Amino acid sequence: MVTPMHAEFVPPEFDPPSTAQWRRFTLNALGLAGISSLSAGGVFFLAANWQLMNRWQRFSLFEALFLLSAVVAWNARAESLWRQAALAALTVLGGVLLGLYGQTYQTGADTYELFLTWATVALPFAWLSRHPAHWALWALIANIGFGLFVDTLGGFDRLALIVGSGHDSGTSSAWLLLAFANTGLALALRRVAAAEWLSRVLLALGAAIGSQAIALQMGWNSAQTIAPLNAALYLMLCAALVAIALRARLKDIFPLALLGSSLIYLSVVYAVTQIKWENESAFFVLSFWVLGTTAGLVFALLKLHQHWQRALSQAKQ
Amino acid sequence: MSDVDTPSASARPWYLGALLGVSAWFAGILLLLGMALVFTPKSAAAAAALGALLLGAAFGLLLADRHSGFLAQLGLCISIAGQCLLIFGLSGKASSALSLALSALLVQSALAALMPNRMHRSLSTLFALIAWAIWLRLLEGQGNWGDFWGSSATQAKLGASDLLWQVGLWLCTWLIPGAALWWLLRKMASIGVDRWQQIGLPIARGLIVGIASATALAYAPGLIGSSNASFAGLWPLLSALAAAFMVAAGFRLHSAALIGFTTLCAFIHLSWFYYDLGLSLLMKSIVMMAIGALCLGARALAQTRWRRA
Repeated sequence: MVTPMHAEFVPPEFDPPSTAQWRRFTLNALGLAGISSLSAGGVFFLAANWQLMNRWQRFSLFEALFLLSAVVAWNARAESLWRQAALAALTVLGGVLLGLYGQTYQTGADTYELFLTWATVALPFAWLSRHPAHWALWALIANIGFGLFVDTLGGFDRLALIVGSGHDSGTSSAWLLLAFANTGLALALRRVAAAEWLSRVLLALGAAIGSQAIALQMGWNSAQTIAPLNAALYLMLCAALVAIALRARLKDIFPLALLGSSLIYLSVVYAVTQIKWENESAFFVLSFWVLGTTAGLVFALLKLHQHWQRALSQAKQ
Repeated sequence: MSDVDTPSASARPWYLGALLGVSAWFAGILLLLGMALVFTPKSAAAAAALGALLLGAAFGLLLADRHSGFLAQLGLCISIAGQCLLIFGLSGKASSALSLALSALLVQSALAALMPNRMHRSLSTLFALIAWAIWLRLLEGQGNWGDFWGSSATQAKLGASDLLWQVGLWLCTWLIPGAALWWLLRKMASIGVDRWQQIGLPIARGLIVGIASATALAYAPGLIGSSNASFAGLWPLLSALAAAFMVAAGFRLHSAALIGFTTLCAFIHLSWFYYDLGLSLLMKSIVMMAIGALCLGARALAQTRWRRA
């Protein structure tokens, strides 16, 4: 008998997928391609004929599609492709109907209100679907809504989130709250959708938004300082990441990697604002700082990862 | 060539590798800027010599790194600075796009084969593919930057009746890397576990990522916004098909990350195709719906047949 101790390591790639697995993969790929192509084609078809339709026809069409999707979702088997597709269509059509209503009757609502209402309307569909991709779509809508809301706070260029030159502390606080919202959502979806990748994407999004909110306040513009409230919010975000890493049932270093990357990024932003660039050695110093801190972080995280893996395997035995 | 990646490296979560790669790139660019300011190579030969020296140092560091990540990180960073200098030096004059692309192709291919680091091999394979695609495109034109950025001459050629020529060029560009990937996947077992993990797998990953994305990366400047590009739409369509095959290759390697990335690439190429398609919005929508119906029909047919079997 070959025990695990004596068995040679065989990479997973050496075990090719079985015929049944290939067939399932082909069916999934064809289903995804077919549904997305049909949906996109339908949207383009309507866009091409938009000017030919009057108000009554436009509303009737979308309401009929909405009702049809609801009937399909109600009658289809749970977990079936049809049900998932119908729930996805309900989510998309909910947004389309809200947009159509706002455009037709000129409600004067802000764009963020459209997206946040859409997110609220779409929440039950995502809940019923429980599919990670559906939750990802919902999280995208909610993030756009909240992002647009922060945008309306004023004094802030939309592009400034990426390349801006500092902004007021209130806007930073709002971005930090969005970072918290994503972190919380990541935790909630870990239970609801049971999709590790989605949870990680949201955690990464939260950490990126939080880091950039601080970076824009403290960096790229050395005259600005971090407001105490924002510093506290950022520290709380860091603490939340540590807590998630430690409290997860299967302890995970991913949140710690995000935390470390965020701190390194902020240190680089700080250095860039302080360094005198006419001195060539500054390039070397910063280069080695980035290398050293990243290597140190990865080394420490790997040790922790190995330690947790060992503890996990011992607990299983 | 024996590789030096430790067993712990193979168990390293992918995001730590990505973090190391991104930081090495950033640090490498800073190092390159610093070197350029301090040493200021006076000629192409001097730049090439300095680049080769740096690559030698990087090779040594990557070879020496057995237990810590720092030396490998430093080696990757130095290698990036060295690559830029060597490619610049070998190309002779920076204004010759053709020689620059050829130099990049040669340097990156050599590094993919020689550098004792898996991430380096994957990245070099990807860059070699991008250089290969750009080189062939420039070779087809006059070898000027204008052709690369989509000059009127190139646009006219794309809109003319040489459809077969365009298909042939595409096949010439991507069938060779595709054949290399096919060969690697088929010979996986005979390559051996160790050599596969250290050499075969990183190169296969680079090929999959490259075939799925390099058309977009290498051709984007020339094709985006082309007004006379009904045939240019053919390229993104072929690339979407190639990306779809790479999704299957990712599935073959049991890699969720590769499947996700290549699926995204397929969607990007398809969007590009519809954008470039010289048809009305109505016709585009009908084409899309027809393709969707075909896919779902094929799915239903396959499901019925496989159930019977």
